[in-house]
This record gives sequence, C-alpha cells and structure tokens, in this order.
Amino acid sequence: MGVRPKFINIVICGVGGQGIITLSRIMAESAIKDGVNAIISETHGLSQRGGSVEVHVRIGEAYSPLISKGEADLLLSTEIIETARNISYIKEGGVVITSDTMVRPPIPGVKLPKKEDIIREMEKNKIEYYLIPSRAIAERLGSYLVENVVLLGAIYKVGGLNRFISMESLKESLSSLRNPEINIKAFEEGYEYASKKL
Amino acid sequence: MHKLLYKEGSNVLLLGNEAIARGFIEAGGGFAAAYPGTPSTEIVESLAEVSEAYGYYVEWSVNEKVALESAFGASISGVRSLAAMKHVGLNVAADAFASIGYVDTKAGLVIVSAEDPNMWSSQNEQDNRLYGMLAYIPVLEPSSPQEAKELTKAAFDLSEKIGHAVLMTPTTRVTHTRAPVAYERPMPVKRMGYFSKDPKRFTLIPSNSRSKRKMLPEKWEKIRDALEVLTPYNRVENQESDKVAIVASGISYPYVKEATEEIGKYRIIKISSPVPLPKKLILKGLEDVNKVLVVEELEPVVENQIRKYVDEEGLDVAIEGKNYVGYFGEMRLDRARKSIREFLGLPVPEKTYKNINIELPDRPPSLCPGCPHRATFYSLKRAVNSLLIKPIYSGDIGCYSLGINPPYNEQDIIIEMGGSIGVANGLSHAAEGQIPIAIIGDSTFYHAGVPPLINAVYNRAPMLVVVMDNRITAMTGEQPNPGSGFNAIGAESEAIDIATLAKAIGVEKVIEFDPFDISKATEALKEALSYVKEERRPAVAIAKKACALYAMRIARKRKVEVPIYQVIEDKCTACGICYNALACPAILVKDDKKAWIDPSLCTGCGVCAQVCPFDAIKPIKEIPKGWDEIWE
Repeated sequence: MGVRPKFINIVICGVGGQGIITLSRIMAESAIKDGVNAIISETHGLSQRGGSVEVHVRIGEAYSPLISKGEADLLLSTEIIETARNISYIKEGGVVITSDTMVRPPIPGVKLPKKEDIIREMEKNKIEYYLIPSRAIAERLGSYLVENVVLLGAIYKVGGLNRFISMESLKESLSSLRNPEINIKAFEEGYEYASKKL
Repeated sequence: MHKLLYKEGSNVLLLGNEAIARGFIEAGGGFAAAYPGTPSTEIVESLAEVSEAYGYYVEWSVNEKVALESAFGASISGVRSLAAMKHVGLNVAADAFASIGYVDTKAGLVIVSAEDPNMWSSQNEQDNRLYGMLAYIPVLEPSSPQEAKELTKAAFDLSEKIGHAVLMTPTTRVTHTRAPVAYERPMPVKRMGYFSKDPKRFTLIPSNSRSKRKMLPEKWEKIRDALEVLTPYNRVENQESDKVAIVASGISYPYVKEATEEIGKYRIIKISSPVPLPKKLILKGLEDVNKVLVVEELEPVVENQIRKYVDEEGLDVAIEGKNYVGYFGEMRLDRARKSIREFLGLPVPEKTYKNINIELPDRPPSLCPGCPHRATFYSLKRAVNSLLIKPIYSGDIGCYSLGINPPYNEQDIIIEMGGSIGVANGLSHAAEGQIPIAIIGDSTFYHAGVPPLINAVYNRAPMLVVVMDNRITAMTGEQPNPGSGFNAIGAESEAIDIATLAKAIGVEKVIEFDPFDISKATEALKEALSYVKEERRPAVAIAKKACALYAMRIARKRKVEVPIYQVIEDKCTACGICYNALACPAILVKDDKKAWIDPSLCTGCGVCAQVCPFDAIKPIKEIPKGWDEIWE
C-alpha cells in the first residue's frame, strides 16, 4: 500500500436535495473521530433549490478548503449528468464513483444526454469509474433516501478512503442518522456492489 | 445534543457560522440580532437553537439596520452584543454603521458581515473591508472556522478595550466551510446591564460630532497599536527566509500556505486585521525583503496600506499584488499557485483536464415542487395576457427571483432588497404605456418594501405590487419574519398583517388570494391590474400560501399524509401544458410525451390538476383532513 498520502481530495456532486451535504458530513465526522483532520466546503443559497451542487471534502493534512480542477482523487456523484459536468475535477489516475440515476432538469423542452454516451466518453478518456445502480439498490431496501449512503459504501470500498477513515467510525456516524439500520444496510450493499466490480 | 452545547475540550465539526456562534457563547455574549442572508444565516440561526440553555437574548430583526441599531443599544446598556448580516446587508445598516465609530461603545459590539466573493448567492461582491476605512471601524478577517471562533472572542475583547465597534468579515469559504473546532469554557452570560445617561457621548448633534471627529485619527492609531499584538492571528512565518515575502490576508492564508509549501519555505506575513493594517508587524515582515506579493481577494485593501507604509519609511521594496492575483472572485489553490510562482519567476505547471465532450443541459436552481410562487407566476401571466397590458416585472431578492427562468420570464429587473417597489416608482412615472408589476416576498416587504409603497401612494405611482407571502423567509431556510406569528426562538408573536398594513398606508385596492386556486387567483390579479390601469394608482395583491418545504415539514409533524397526484394515462393527450407552461419539477415527460408525476417529489398542491385542460390529473387518494391548514 505504500506511505499514506498527506491528504485525499474528494469532490461530491449531484442535485440539491440528494443528500450530498449529509455524505460530506459523515465522511468528515468519521475522520475526526479517528483523529484525522477534515475540511468541507459547500455552496448553497440558490443551489439548494434543485440546482447543481458540489461539495469539496479534503481529509488529512490539507489547508485550503477548495479543490482545484484536475486535483480530485475521487469524484462521487449522485447524478450522472452532474458526473459529466464535474469530470474536470478528476486528476490523472483519479476514480469516479457515480450513480446511474439521471434527474431531468425542470426546463421546458430540455434535451437530455444519453447515459451510454457519458459512459463511452469516460472510457475514451481512460477514467477509472464505478457505475452504481444506487436507486435500484435503495428501492430494494425500501427507501429512496438512502441512495447517497449506497454510494458511500461503494466509495469506501474502492476509493482508498480506508487509509484515512476506519470502518468503525463510519458505521458509528451512520448509526447517528435517522434510520440507522437501513442506512448501515445501504452502506453494506454499496460496499458489496463495488467489491464485485473490482 | 446540540453541537453548540458540547463541553469545553470537545473537537467538533462546525460550519464557520456555527463557529462564530460558539465564539459569541464563549465570549459571554448577551445579545444577538440578525437579518438572514446567505452566507451569514447560520450564525443567529444556531444561536437561536440553544439560547434557552445559555440565557442570552436572540432575535431575527426586520432588517440589518435594525439589527445593528439594536445590538448597539444593547452594547451601550453594558451587554456584549453581536449583529450579523450578509455583506450587502451592511449597505442597509450603513447609516448606523458609518456613525457608530463616532461613539464610544460600552460592552463589546461585534458586527459580522459575511462576504461573498464569486457571488455564490448574492447580487454583487463588494469588499466591505472598505466600509471599515470609511467608518473608522477596525476589520477582522478570519482564515478558518477555528480562527473565526477565536477572532469573535478577540473582537469582543478588542471592542471593549478600545470602546469601539469591531467589524468581522468572514467570506463564504469560512462561513460555509466545515472543519473541526476546539471548544473552550464559555464565560458567564451577562444578559442585562444599565444605560447610564451621557448625552455628550451618545448624541451625534453637530457640535458633539465635530469634537468626536477630531479625536478619530488618534483613536485609530490606538486601534492600530492594539492590532499589532493580535497574535497569533497576525504573524510572520519563516522570518529566517529573506529576500521575498508573501502577505496573505484572511481566507487567502490557507491557499498561500499550501501553494508555498509545494515549492519550499517562504516568508509569509499572515494578516487577520486588514483594517487598520498593523504597521510594525508589516515592517518586521519586510525586513531584508526586496519584493513582496500581497495575496488577498477583491480590492487591494492590504496592498494599498503596505504601499503607504513603504513610502512613509522610504523602503526599497517592490510591492506586487493585484497585477498577479487579480480582482474577481474567490481565492483558489490554482490562483494562489499561479500568482506566487509567476511572482517568484518559477514555471507554472501545465495541467490537463479530463473532459466529457457531450452537450449537457444546464441545471439552474428552480422553484420547488408545490411552490406557491409558481402558481402565482402562472396566473399573473394569464391575467396580464387577457388584459393586453404591457407589463414590466420589477423583481426582488428571494426565491421568486427564480421567476426569471423560462417558462415564466417574470423578472425584468433585480437589484436589491425592496428594489422591486422602489424601482417601480420610477418606472410608473417614466415608462410610457407600460405597467410596472413589483414582485416581492413577505420578508423582503417588511425588510425594505414599506417605505417605497408609502412613496407610491403619496406620489400616486400606478403599479401593481404582488406580495408573494409564503409565511416565512424561505430562501435562507425558513426563518420567521414579522408575518410568521412566531419569533426566532419559536415563541408566539402577533403577526403583522400585510393587507391591513397596505390599507393603513392608503392603498385603496388591496386583494388577498389563494395562489393554488388558479381561476380565482387569475381573477383577483385581473381586478387589481384593471384598477391600476384605470385609476392610475397603486394596488396590492397578496398571494397567501406557505412555502412548500415549510408546509411539508408541518405535514410530517402533524402526520398528515400528502395527497399525491397522478396522471390518468388514457386522458393525457401529451399537450405538455403541465410540464412546459407550469413546469413543476415533479412532472416528468415520458418517451411518448405524456406526463408522469414522480410520487417522491409531488407535494399535493393540486395546481397541475387545474391547469390540465383534459382533466387527466387526479389525486391518488381523498384529500385528508387538515390538508389546507398545513399551507396556511
């Protein structure tokens, strides 16, 4: 595994209301429990009204709150159009963990891109990506609300986060959410799904 | 347990704004007032959540001017006070702010103005550090949530030490950053004091003002001296490294720190008090230095003061700053890195970015499913079209600013809080053959909409004022306002009725309507518009319906099930009126162009069922008892 890098840069993106800020807080709170520094930077105000949202999470010995383009180790996305929109954050060798969910922007006559085209472009760019059917998994577990936690399970498996955050701390943070059982189950399902794809 | 109640010694992940609140608590603050505004809202919001436990007074004020005046009143009563606002809120409070520097305050008075470089949620990116210079009020600028907490306490101490108000200007990247914050023991709260009369001190009549004014420059130097020892927030790092120095003010510090550590060890002059800039510290930082780069956001506030000091001392130091760093937007690591490397004559590494070469649709923020503003915009357009009038939609600051987007296109002008009615005054006298329609929310109306409405009545300005009254201050996250019927700590309070207020001002035509009843709403707006057109006087139409997010929260609390609507497949003709003209985000288009309502998004407002010409949209279940009440 080598020496742990000083920090890990994670950009989380999606649509306002998809639980993006919650995800960032779970990561940071878990890191702090393990005695590791964390900084989260968010933009809201207008963007909480169904707009594009991006949150920057830096775990480890990092000073500045914002991640520059081309410097994210991980891009975690709850919506696939937003994955494409934020792809420039990923550094060479970075990993994308994205939901396959597509949310239509409520604009009259809006033209949607095709999922297959986005995936093809990622492959053309030689980007390592994990496409997670987070909605289907969440639906199976009986709650749309845990889609974000399914993705957290996946990123924990494949993103190298385990070098900064322990599984115990993560599960402890998940236990403090409103429905701990289903959230922990969602985490495990996401983790397992990503394991199979490795 | 609430995060602000954790014990001293805790290390807690806090939002910068919560850290400022914690600073207020640790400083034994007794009075806090604010008007909500991104990125400042969470300061007083979080203080309100724990006020009972600590025992200080907290309020949402009607606007920033009143918040500041109230905090000043508490300060001169001997109670440590804080007034918080977003940066443009200080414009509203400027009348008080610009003269408070003439008065010796008593207990600490700290004004927090949350700055918004890059305008993430603001109409401009003015640099309020300049206000400090204008008003002779010192400015503190934190570089992280932890420092924001500590500087809040330092600001109270400084304010008391010099008997002067202190302005703190954290930016979005501090107030909306979460990071671990170490707790210390709170001082006991002093909730009440006593105002000792001293008219020479507190009344700014010209004779008093003149003598105060003469003393200001001297006081300013005392303030500068106090800031010389504001350690460790002002400091020189790596003094042993000579020849070049880099100055980093406020939030620029972490970026400068990270960008310089990538290339070596450089002298950094870290500044947390940009106004007035401590001179001795700067001179110490410039010892054995022949060129310096000043890294700060927005205006060259620190840079210009360094130029003055270098000039006064006749030093041979080249000063660089905005020519490398630029003016616009917030700091980024890339920006700091490029500025510093170019300044040092080092190569700037070229970066390549991953790119997905597909056209992507924009995703602007939109009115929520069930938002009553959407229904009002829909009816207003129908009313305007049926009367064949030429409208000018004079817009304002709030969720309804989103009416700028298609398919509504009902915001032609947006400048500032209350500007809708103010600007409509001029339009009504100068725009020929057009009728101004001012669109303003309830909170914004109380905040700055009343004086321009008085002006419209008194000066006979024909306009329609549409007040979109959704019961709370929605855009910033549902804070109560004078129309809500409860206050910052949730205690009941007499609501100030907008219709009664408008009538008392002298508006003859005041109509209230339910925006969820499309045909009645359209009729009400037509009636009001006809009155304006024929009588050439102002009319007020008030759309009364709660914010959908707020209503859903109440529905959950009261356990009222949302009556979700669905599209009857056979009746839907794929005409698109519901998803193109009403454009509710809960209504999706299927491949056959028929509509489909996402049950996870529908809030049961029932507006789509009314706009459907084919009667193809129906509730799944009967409307439950108590449903209408949740929207009141």
